[in-house]
Amino acid sequence: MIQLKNIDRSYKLGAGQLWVLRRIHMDIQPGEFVTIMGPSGSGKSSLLNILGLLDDDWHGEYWFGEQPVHKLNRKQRADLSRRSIGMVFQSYHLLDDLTVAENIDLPLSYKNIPTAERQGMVADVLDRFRMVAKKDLFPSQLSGGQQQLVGIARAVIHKPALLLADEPTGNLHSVQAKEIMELFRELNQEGTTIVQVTHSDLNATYGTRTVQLSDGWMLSDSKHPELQQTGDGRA
Amino acid sequence: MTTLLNDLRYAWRQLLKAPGFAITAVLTLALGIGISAAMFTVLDGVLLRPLPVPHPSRVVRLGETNASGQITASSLPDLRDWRDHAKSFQDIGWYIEKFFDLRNPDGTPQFSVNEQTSPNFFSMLQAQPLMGRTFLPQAGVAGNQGTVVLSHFVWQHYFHADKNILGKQVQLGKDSYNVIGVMPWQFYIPINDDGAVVWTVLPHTPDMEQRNNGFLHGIGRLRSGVSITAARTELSGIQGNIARQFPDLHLTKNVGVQSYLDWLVGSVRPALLALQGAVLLVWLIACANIAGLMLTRMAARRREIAVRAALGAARGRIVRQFLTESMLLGVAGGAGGLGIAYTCLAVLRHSIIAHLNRSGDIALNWQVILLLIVLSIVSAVIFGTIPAFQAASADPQEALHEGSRGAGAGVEQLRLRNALIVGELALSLVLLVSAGLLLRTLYALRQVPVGFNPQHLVVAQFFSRGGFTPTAADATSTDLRTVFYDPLLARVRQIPGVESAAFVTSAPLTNNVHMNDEFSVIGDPEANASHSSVELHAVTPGAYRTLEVRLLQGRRFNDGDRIGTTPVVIVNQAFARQYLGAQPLQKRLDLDTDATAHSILQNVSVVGIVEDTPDVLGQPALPEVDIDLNQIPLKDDFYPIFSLAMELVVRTGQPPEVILPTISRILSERNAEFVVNSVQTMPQQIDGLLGSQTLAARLLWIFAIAAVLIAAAGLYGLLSYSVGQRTREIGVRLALGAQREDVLRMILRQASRLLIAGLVIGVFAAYFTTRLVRSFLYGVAEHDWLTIVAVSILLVAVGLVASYVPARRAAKIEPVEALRAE
Repeated sequence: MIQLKNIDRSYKLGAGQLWVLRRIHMDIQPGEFVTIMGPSGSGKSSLLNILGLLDDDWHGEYWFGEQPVHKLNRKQRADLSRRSIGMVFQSYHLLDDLTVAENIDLPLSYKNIPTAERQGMVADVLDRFRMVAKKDLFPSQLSGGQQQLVGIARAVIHKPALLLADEPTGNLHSVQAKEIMELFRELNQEGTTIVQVTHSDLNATYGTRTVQLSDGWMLSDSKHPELQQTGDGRA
Repeated sequence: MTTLLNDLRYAWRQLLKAPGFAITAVLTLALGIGISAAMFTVLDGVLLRPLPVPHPSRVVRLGETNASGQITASSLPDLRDWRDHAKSFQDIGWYIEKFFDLRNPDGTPQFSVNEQTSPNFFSMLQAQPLMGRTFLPQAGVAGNQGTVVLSHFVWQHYFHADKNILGKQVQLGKDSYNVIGVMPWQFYIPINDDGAVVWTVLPHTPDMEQRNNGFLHGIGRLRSGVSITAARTELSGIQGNIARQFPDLHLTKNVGVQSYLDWLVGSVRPALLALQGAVLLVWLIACANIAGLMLTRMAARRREIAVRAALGAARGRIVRQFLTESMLLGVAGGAGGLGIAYTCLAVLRHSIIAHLNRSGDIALNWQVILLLIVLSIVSAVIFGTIPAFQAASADPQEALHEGSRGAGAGVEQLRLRNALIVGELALSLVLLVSAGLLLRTLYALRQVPVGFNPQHLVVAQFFSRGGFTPTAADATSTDLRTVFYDPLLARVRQIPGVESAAFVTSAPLTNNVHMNDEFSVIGDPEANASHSSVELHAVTPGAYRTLEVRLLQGRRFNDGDRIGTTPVVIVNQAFARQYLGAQPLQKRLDLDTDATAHSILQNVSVVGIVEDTPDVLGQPALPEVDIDLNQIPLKDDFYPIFSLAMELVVRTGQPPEVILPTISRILSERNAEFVVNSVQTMPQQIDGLLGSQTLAARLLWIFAIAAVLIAAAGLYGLLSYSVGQRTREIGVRLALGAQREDVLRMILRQASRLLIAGLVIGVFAAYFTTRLVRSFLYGVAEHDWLTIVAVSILLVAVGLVASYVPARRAAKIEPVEALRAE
C-alpha cells in the first residue's frame, strides 16, 4: 500500500543542514498497524508528516498504492490526502468554536458531499463512538479522552485507507489511553491501515509491527529482523 | 534612568519585532493627527479667530438691499441719517474701495487698494494702530485730509518696515499723503486679499449729497446686547421714513444688516462646519483603530506578560514597559502627523486662498498640533496600558495555561475589536457618502445649462484706475470709447485665432459688477404696479455672438445702433416673461425713472430677446436688460458705466489658454488707465465659481480617503492578528483536507461579515448625516442610492484588498509548521 524509498528530510540550519530523516525505506501493506518509536528528535513525527502528505519538502520516492506521490504536485497530494488519509493528533486539534458534531463533519465539508449525506455519516459515527449525547457540546466541555475520541471520529469519518496517529494518548491518563488504543485495534481489525507514533511500549503492543528510529535513521523494523543498523545509523 | 533606557531599548526592539503593528499604529496616528491638525488649522484661521478688534461680533456691514436681498452700496445722506438716528448702533461708518499706484521710496509704482473711509472708521472699529495714530473722528473730512494709514503689508513690503515712516510723505495716485499710522498685520478690514491696502479719508464732493447716488459700503458697530434683527428693523424703519420723504427718488425701503465675520467667511461657513464634523469622525476612526491595535497587541502578548508576572515582575513595572512602547508609538505618530498636516495644507493652500479672504492667517497652529499629539498619545497609552494592567493583574498560571492552548484574546476582546472595526467602516462610509454627494453635485453643476457657450472663451476683468467716479464726464473729458475701448477691441481682434471680441459689464457667471436699476414699462401701468429693479448690463455689439448667447426673438445690437439713433435694449427671457407680456418687441422702457435724470435710457425700445444666462450656477436667471454701450453719449447719466469694472470677452478657435498671455500683454500696455484684475478662460472662471463646493468636496474627499485608509489599516490589522491567532486552526483544517482556496475564502468571509455590518450601519447613519451637507447639494438627492451603492462598492473593494494580504498569508500556512508551533 505504501512504499518509501530512500526518503531524506533536512532543514537548513545556518550554513549547514540538519538531517531529521535519512534514507528511509519502508513498505506498509494494507491492514497493517505500524508503530513508529524512538526518542525525541529521532524523526518519528517528521516521518508521520511525510506519510500524511503534510510535508512536501523531502527527497526520495513515496508510492501510495499505484500513485507516485513524489511526482504529484501540491494540489494532487492534497486531493490524495483528503481522499485516503485520516490524522489523529496528540493535542486533539479540535476547533474550539465548533461543536462535537461540527468538528467531526469538518473533513466532509471539504469534500463535495451533499449535506444530507454528511449529516447521515456524522450521525453514524456519533452513534458508533457513543457520543450522540455530546454532539452539541464544545471541545472545552469534554474531557481529554472524549476530545481524542472526537479527534479519531473526525479522522475516520471519511473512511480513510490510512489512519495516522501522532502520540494519540500522549495527553491522556491510562484508562482513557486504553480505551483509545482498543478503538484503534478495532478500526484496524475492520481493515483500516494504521501508523502510530508513540513513546509508549504498551501502546506499541496494540500494533502488528514496530519500527525504531534514531537520529533520523531507521534502526530496526520488527517485520524485517534482518535490518539492524549500527549506532551511527549505517547498516 | 538606566531602567528607563532599558525600557526604551526593549520597546524599540519589540516594535521592530512587529513591524506590521508598528507601521499600522504609526500611520494611523499620523493620519489622525495630520488630517485633524490641518483641518483644525483651517477652521481656526477662518472661523474661530475673531476679527482683530474688540467685541468683533458687534461689527456689522449694512446697506440697502437689492431685489435678491443682497446688501448693496448706499448713499452718503442715507448712511449719515442712519448714523444720526439709529439707536441700535454705537457708530456707523463707510468706505469705498479704489485702486491706485503707491510709489515706494524708489519711486516705483506699486499697485495698492485704497480704502477711502469715513473719519470715524477706525474709532468705530475701536482698532488700535501698530504705530502712530489713525484718523481723528472729530476733525471731520477736512481735518484728516492728506493723511494716510498704511497696512502692515505695505509698510513691510513697500517701505521695508521703515521705523521712521511716520510723518513721511508718500505718493498715492496723483496726490501726496502724510503717513500717520501703520496697522498691525492681523488688521484686514474692510477686506483685502493680498494685504496691499492703505486707508485715507474719503474726500467730499457735492454729488455725494444725492440720495440716489449709492456708492458707499456701510459698516457699523452695534450697541451691546442689540441683535442684528433689531438693528435691521430699526434701520429699515428709518429708511422707510426717508423713502417717504423723497417719493420721486423711488428709494429702497429695505436695509440689510449682516455680521461682518459671517460676510468675510461667507458661503464656506456651512462647509467648514460640516468639515468640523468630518474632523471629528476621522479622529474617532483613528482612535478606534489605535484602540483596536493596542487591544490586539496586548492580547498577543498576554503570555509574555504572564511569564513576566510569574517571574516576579511587579505590576507597575510591566505597565511602565507598555507605557514606554505606547509613548514611542505616539511620538512617531505625532512626527508623521506633522508631516501630513504640512502636506495637506500645502495641497489645500491654493483652493483655500482662492475661496477665503482670511486665508493669509492660515498657518499651522502649534497649540492645535500639540493638543492633537497629546490626545493621540493619551489614547495610545490608555488603550495600551489598560489591557497590560489587566493582564499583569491576572493569575499568571491561568494565562500560561490558556496560552498553552494557543489562545490569545478572549471572546469579549475579539468582539470589542470587531465592533471597533465595524464602527470605523461605518464612519468611513458616512464620510464617503457625503464626499460622493458633493462630487455628484459638482458634476451636476457642470452640466447645468448656462445659456451660453463657455468653451473657447476668455474673460479679462479690469478696473478703471481711481475707481468708479459717480459723475458724468464733463465737456472736456475724452470719450473712453475712442481712447481706450475701441482701439483695444481692434487690437484684440487682430490676435491670430480670435473669432470675435466684445466688452460687457458683467459676463455670465463672472459676478462682476451688478447694476440694479429701477425701471418702468412705458404705457403699461399694470406692469409698473410691481415696480421693481432689474439687472442692468451694458455690452458692445458682438457680445452675444462672442458669448454664443442664443437670440430668441428680434435682433441683436449692430453697428447701426450709435449715439443719436433710437436707443434700443435687448432683454432676457426672464424679463420678457415677467414684464413684457404679449408682443414684447413693441414695448418701450424707461430705465432712468429719476425725474431729474438726464439720459437717453428714459425711453428705449426692446428690439430683441435672448436666452437666460444665470449669474449663479444652478439658480434661475434674474430679469435682465442689456443696453448698448455705443449708444450712450458722453454726458449721459449712464456714461460712468465706462469707468466701472468692465470685462473683455474673447472667443477663439484655439484652446483659450493659448491667447491668455497675449491678451494680458495687450491689457497691461494700457495700465495707465486701467488695472487688470484677472485674465482667465471661462472654464477656469466656472471652476472658481464652484469654489465652496469644490473646496468642501476636496476636503471631504481627503477626510474620506484618510478615514477609509485608517479603517482599511484597522481591518488589515485585525485580520492579520486573527490569522496569527488561528494558525493552529488553519493548520488543522489544512491537515484535514481543506484546500488553500478554502482558507482564503474563510478569511475573506470573515472580512466580508465585518464589511457588511459596517456598510449596513454606515448607510443607516449616512441617512441622517447627509442633511449636514444638504445646503451644498445640487441636482442630486440627499439620499442618493447611486452614490451610496458606488461608495459602498469602493469601501468593500478597499476592504477586500486590505483583507486579501492576511487571507493570502493564511492560505500559505504550512500545516506542519502550524501544528509543530503547537
